[in-house]
Amino acid sequence: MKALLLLVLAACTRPGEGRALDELTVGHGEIEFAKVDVTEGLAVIRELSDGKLDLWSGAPVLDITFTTDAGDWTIIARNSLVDAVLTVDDTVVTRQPGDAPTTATFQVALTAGTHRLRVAPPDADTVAPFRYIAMADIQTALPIVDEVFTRINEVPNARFVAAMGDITERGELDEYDLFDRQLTVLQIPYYTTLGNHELWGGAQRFYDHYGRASFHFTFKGTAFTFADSGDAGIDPIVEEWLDGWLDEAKDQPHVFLTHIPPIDPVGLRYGAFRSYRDAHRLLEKLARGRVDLTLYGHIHTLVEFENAGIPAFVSGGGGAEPMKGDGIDRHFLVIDNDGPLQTVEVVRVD
Amino acid sequence: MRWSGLCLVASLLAARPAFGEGRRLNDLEPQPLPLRGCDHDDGLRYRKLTIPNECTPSVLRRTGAVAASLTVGFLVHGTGSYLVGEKRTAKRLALIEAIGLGGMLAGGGPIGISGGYPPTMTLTPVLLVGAGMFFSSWWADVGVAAGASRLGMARAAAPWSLELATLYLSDPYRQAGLGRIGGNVALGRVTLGASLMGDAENEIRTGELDARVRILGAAATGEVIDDGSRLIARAGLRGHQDDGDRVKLATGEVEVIGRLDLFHIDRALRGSFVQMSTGLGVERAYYTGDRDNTSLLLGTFGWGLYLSHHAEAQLFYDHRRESMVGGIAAGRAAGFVGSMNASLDWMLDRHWATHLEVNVGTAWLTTVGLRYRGGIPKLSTPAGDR
Repeated sequence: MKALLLLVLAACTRPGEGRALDELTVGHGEIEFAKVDVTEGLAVIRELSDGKLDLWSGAPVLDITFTTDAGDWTIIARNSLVDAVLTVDDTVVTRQPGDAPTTATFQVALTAGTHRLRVAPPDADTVAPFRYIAMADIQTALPIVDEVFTRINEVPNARFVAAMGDITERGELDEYDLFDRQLTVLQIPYYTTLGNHELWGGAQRFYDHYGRASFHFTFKGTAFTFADSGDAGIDPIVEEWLDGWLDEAKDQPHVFLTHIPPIDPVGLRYGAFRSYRDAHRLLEKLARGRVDLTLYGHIHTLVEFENAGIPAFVSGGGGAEPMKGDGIDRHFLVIDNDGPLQTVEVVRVD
Repeated sequence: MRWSGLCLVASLLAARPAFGEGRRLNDLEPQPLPLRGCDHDDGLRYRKLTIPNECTPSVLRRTGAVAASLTVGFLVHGTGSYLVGEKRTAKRLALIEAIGLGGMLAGGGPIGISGGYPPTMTLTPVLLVGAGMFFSSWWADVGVAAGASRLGMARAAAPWSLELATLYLSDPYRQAGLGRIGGNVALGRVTLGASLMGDAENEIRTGELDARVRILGAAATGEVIDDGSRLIARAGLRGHQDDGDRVKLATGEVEVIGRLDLFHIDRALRGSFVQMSTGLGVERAYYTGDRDNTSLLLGTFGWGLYLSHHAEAQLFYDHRRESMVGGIAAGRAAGFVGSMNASLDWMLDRHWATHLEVNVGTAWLTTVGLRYRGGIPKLSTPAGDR
């Protein structure tokens, strides 16, 4: 029966196509008297109602086109950098005190018309070294991932977590709710793509909570590209986006993150893309696009290797059932980004 | 509810044994004693293979047996055989299933429990052979239920052959029409092969060299043979260049390929076979400014039928990911699973044969080939058998 089911599934050679199209709706919302468009869909609109815009940020910098009637608005940017401020048509609005570090709340009075809003830290466009965290594969360890977050909080000067997916075990709504609660422990934002386990419950749940799975942003001169490889491949639509992002960031330091490694460093294990031709094509694109670092999850261990001459890490230490025998349990990567030079340190939680 | 219905149908069929159904003989007449259930040894090499009416299950029973073998039979192999009266076959298929499950557990258990710890990967061939036994015995059961076995006999490969094929590749990124020319020549136990493949735009080019050593099995005479079982060691080299993907690949691989005609397992399975292979490969990929090597695990398992002595059909799984089609988008198992494939080789006359193949993975690949089989003696089978 299962084999028959697999055959039926095989009839669909583009399982990611629908997801890629669905992503395009992220960050766009409209009610009777207000319309919101987040550039590149880098935030998901959790609430748009009378006088309230509640966003979950998928990137350190949000550019928003906001058309509204005159009125007072509460704009909440969750999952923001701790020093993020809101700029409304070149006027800086400071955040309200009393919120969690990653929740930025702003009170603004807007005139009728279209406004350009930007949520970003003051140094977002300043090219300078910075530090971030990378991790993946939480899954069954969701109830105790706060322990990992507590360790991350102890890392000085880390600006955000860049994650390679598999937050949940089964993509259930209560798992997303639990993760939302666990994120209140983390004092820096968590930007993530999805993993194969998020697909168990349907990708829309992921989009509704954390926004796009394939996206691109630039922070302090370094480009970050996240790509949805949840079904062990990258859809041609996403690959087309990737072509543009690679071209755009050709002269910048560039970090590429996706859940499943294109080629498993232990080749015959096949914890990799389902087509090696697609994997090789992706790696060739990354090499031509002069990507400086590739970060993967999916395999619950830690491996440092190179693919297509690009330094690479598989880091699946978010707490999911760890690989036995290799002595590596929960861990995360601390990455000091200094232009094209990425210094990676492993922090073990267990 | 659906499963309950299927179980009920299976139970009703099982409660009324197939043997005897459709008998036309008067009950008072002496009954021919079946060898076992409905087994009849065709015995002679070129005799027409027929089954007496008194042992032929009705169409309804066959339909029910096929339905049961495809559903309940996935869990209990032999269900279909049992329902058409082949009880001994059913038991043997169930035994093969059990051994296959054991292999899957023995091979896949440590891999799964350890989360893919590299040293456990050495057990992958055990997993593949176990999966091969599991799925092949299931497919064989469906075949027995459908009455598809006993249809034909094996034919040895020709001493030499040339093939011209056209292929159509449909993958998520493009469609491409390709052509392939290839040939084989048997020199005693060694068969050498070579092929070239390219597309109309000359964007995709693949060349292959192949050497096979026949360890067991019939020589390449092109004749009908009693037993198509064989064991072959193979070494191959492949170069692949894809201008669209801007990727150049070189692959070297070694594998062992085995085929077993299933009449060795049970007479009711005469005319069908299982084929499995396993091996290792190394692939070198050339990128802009760099190159990577990666190891490959090769593995296939399949089940097939000889159709008369003119053709053979095969359904098989291929664990490769580096092929043109890659692995199927198998939902939660995507990435760990290879491709599903079906092939049909049909002889048009003594020398000319067609080859049809469909490969389904991330991409679909359809092959239609025309093969000339050379070096075959003038009279390979009695004229009356044509």
